[in-house]
Amino acid sequence: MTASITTHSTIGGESWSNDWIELELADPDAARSDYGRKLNALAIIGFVALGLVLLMAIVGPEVAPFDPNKPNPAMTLQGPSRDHLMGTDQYGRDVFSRVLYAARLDVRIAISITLLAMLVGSLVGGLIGFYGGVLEHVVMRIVDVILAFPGFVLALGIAAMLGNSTRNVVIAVAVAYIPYYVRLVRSEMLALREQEYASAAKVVGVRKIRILLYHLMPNAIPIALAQATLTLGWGILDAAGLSFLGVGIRPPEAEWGVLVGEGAQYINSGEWWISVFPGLAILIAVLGFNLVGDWARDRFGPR
Amino acid sequence: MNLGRYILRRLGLTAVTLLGVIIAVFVMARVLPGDPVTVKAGQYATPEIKAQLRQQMGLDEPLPQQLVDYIGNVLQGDLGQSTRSGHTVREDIGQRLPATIELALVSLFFAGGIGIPLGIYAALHHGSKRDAGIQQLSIFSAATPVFWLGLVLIYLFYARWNFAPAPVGQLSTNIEPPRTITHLLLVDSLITLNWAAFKDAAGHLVLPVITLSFVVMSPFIKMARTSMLNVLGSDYITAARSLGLSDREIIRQDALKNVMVQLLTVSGIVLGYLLAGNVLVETIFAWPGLGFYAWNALTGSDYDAIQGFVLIVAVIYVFLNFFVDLAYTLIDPRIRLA
Repeated sequence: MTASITTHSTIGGESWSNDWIELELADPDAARSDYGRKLNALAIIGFVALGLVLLMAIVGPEVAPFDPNKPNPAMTLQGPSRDHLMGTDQYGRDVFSRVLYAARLDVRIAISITLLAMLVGSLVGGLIGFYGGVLEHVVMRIVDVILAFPGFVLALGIAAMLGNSTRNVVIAVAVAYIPYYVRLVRSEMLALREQEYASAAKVVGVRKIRILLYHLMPNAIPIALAQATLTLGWGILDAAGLSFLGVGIRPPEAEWGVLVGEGAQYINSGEWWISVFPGLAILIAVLGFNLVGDWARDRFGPR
Repeated sequence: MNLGRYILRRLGLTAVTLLGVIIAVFVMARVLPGDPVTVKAGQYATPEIKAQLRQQMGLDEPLPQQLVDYIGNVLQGDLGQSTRSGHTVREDIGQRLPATIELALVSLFFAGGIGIPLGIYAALHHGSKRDAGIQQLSIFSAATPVFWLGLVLIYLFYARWNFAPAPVGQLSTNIEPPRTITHLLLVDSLITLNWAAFKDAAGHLVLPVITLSFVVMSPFIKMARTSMLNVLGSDYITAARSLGLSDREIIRQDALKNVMVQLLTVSGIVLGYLLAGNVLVETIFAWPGLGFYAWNALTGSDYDAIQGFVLIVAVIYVFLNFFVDLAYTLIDPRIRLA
């Protein structure tokens, strides 16, 4: 595995930028016998975390004790209590209810980012891997250029230019993740198109585009899905970061990054609960997605 | 392929990537929706003023012409004018870069200094509870939102316990800053033997450095653990063992060297991340570096400044990439042959 990092990072001048993510994939334990037991402990934490987040996203808004956007001037900046489990913010809004409402939005954002990046990236990667030629060179150059930006900075630039909206945040973050899918599916396609069943289909006269879409692409899905489990976690982290900076979801909309940002100015005066609880929610969500992703990759992942 | 030709080829590729980066920033600025004129002139500007401004900014030219102009400007170091500071973006960035570099380097040092030994330790105790604990720490650190961690630390160490200085900038206002030599505050105060400034600057570094290095510790742990495990399982270590060398000798003489080669790659990646990801941390600590500048630009719709920031970070990233590859090639001749 060490060798694979080396190869990937340097040979042929491939850019290593953002390999952050791919470093995650390098784990020599995968081949070791004691892995199953240890993995299960982590996977259980992951499933519990993810289950909690999904539960919040599904029923959160229904069970929230307060209207997340309703100010209550009599109850501003109250610490956690029996009525307000996570306290109230500067407008007297219930932080717990806002965290619950935000769960749905954040999970939706994570899924949207991942779907967009995966679909566009896989399709482009599949096409250029299959057809090759000038188009392949041009696209791979563009991929290199996108990877020359640290992902978060690229997303920040795009989001700043597109303007604040949920849709724009999703687009901005997804663009930064598309290159991984392009690379991954392209190299998979390079191997797939040489398979015997591909030649066989060609011999009996199946059209090229049909071979690509019906015979080859389905075989590239597992590798794209393995990558997707990582994008879910990082996507939430990036989107929340952008919102925290004010270029993502716009307040007063309840989104975890927005909530942390709203509480930031009260940290110095000691009202910690406004920021700390939503941030904890982000941490749990990312942890859940990452751990379950690790588990899924080992269990179902290619090779 | 010989080394000279290899370097030339890498240099060529780097130049192409840089050109692509400039074009990408141009596309971001001019092609994406959003009207820079309205932003610059303000919402209530008359159409005449807007038209004048449009001409001034060269936006009435066809797009390809604009692109050529933009590339020309950037290559001459002209990144535009900041509407907020009134200075050129280039001046602004030059002024703020040292603070960012200082924070990034110190964070890198601690992330590696703690992460690598942890990873090696985990590998040496492979399969034990301690190994599992270190791996959990690594997973946890990678999932932590950096901006949240910064706030939690500020709450605990400043607001509650008052250990740390107020999270505002690099130096307390009552401290005389050292004479500027290298522009790195820590180094300058050390050279000029300004202990008061050194202590104060170090104190201001503590929380942002803990924040950043905790979050980027994970790749170091993973890298060290993975490469150590691989080395320990390899033939030449078995051979060394069978020759009767002690574990301690083997680790110091053979295994560690291989870990250090990997260190270079990870350091490059992490440094790039630190230069970028610190937008969040610098904002929280009002750290007078590039990231804080970018945040100010974002909140003030200072578009030239935002583009300048995105461009400069990408350019640094590309060069970092180039130098790491180069250093790598010099260390490990196998790569050149491939």
